[in-house]
Amino acid sequence: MRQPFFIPTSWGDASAVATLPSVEPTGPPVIFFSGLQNTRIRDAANRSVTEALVERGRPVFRLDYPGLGSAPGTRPSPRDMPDLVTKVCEWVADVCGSKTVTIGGTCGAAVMALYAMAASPRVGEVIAISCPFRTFDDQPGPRDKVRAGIAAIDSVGVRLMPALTRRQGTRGEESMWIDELISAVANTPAGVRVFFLYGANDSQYAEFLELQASGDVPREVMDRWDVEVYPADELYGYSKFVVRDWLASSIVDWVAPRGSSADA
Amino acid sequence: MSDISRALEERDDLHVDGAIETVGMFGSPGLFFHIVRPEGPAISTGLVLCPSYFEMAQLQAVEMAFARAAARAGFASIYAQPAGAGDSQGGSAQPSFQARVQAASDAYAELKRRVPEVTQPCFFGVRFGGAVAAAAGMAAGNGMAALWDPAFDPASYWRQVRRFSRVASVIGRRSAVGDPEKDLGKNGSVIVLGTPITPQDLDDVLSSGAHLDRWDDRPCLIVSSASGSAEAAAKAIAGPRSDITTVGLGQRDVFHLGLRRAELAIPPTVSWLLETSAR
Repeated sequence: MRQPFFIPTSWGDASAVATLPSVEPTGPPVIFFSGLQNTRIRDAANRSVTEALVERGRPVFRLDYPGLGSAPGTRPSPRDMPDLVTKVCEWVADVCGSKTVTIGGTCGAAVMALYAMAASPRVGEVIAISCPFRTFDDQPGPRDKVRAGIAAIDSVGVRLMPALTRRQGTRGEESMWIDELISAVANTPAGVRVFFLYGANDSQYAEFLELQASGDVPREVMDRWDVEVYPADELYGYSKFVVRDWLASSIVDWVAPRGSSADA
Repeated sequence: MSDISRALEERDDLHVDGAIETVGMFGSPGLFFHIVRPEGPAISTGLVLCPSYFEMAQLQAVEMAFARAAARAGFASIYAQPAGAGDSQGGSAQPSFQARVQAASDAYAELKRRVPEVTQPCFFGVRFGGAVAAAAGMAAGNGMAALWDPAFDPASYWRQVRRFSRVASVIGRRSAVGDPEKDLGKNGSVIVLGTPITPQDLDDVLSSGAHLDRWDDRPCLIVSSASGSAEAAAKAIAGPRSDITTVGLGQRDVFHLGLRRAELAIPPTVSWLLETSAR
């Protein structure tokens, strides 16, 4: 059963949809965030993941931040987002009568989820899909514009693009660590489960490997994370069905293994 | 009904900036709707917003901005997603063109039920949503239409979608930048701009033009971007009582991907609605 509604926040109302199980919930609610510019219906994987989680008795919430997608109001500044997602976690936990929530998202939304983990004691589990650890400039640079121009030319673009994108393993050299994010993951609370998912070809995966090698996060913290990598492909964007299906079953088996019934 | 469901039901409407916004599901399978209406009585023309196909998510914010601007001018509107798309229930297959037209017609019935002042529909859509809106408007006996760069030529629409899909892959810094049409032939399915499709879905998109030729003799507004070809396309589909307005987008701009500048089309559309409804 899907139920649209609004969540009050200090920045205006978020527009959300809850998908509820037909039986009493078997565990804490799950919230999927969007990235800073994305809307809840844009994420192709959410639908299959949501349905599979609900089938195992977990209520799932997806939302548009104020000013995005269908939500009224003005989009909060990026600096306000951690506070906003933290408030959303607490509101959903209260409505569901649950001590904790499971939260997650892809790319920028994974960053939001990790910020909320650092700020809210109600977060029990985090699913971080293709999470970046370096700054992401939303504005395409000159090289991106050249590539985009070539891609826009039908047959020539298709022939040239693989060669032009092959060396694009990581973001530009000028990119920076996101210090608050590194601090959030380095201080992963002891009782919180964290699940990182990547495709081996995701540029974000290169950043994750770099983070692991950097020494910025204590080894004992990293040992508590669960990490799964889809071989030789990208998760970011879910451009293939096989990737989407793998992602859905990985998440569902991690959050709600068959036969489990967490304390809600 | 569970306690969670009851608590959420209390939060299904909202009073903001002189308008009332209500969200919910209607019909079976449940279709997602978002109604925006003025606080006071609504004008008798009710707007039905028909989402586009591949750019449904990208265009949603500007379509809702249009609904809110129209509510401030006195119009009630309903934005509804067809079965299987967005937040609506239904199978995982993409809704066909005819299913989208039917969803628009059902959405109008839901708007009339919830806002009794509404007695005449005006179907609104952008790109592929414009084609759906035109077909729904022609099917409704007393329908009007407001269309932004409507995709009456589906082959040309699909060419643009392929191009934007590749550009979006580059801007999104993905390493694989393929042609969705070739991937579809190779894999039997592909996700284009976030929308999963099969060859049958593409056939349905490409044959949607068979349902449309040109708008009939009822009021219609066609808003096109400023390029000469877009204006020529608008003239080709206009009927005897159609008005054509161009907005100052760039030479190669269309309304794909919900460009910020698409909001330039809102004021002339609301003005046209006010003038046409008063006649």
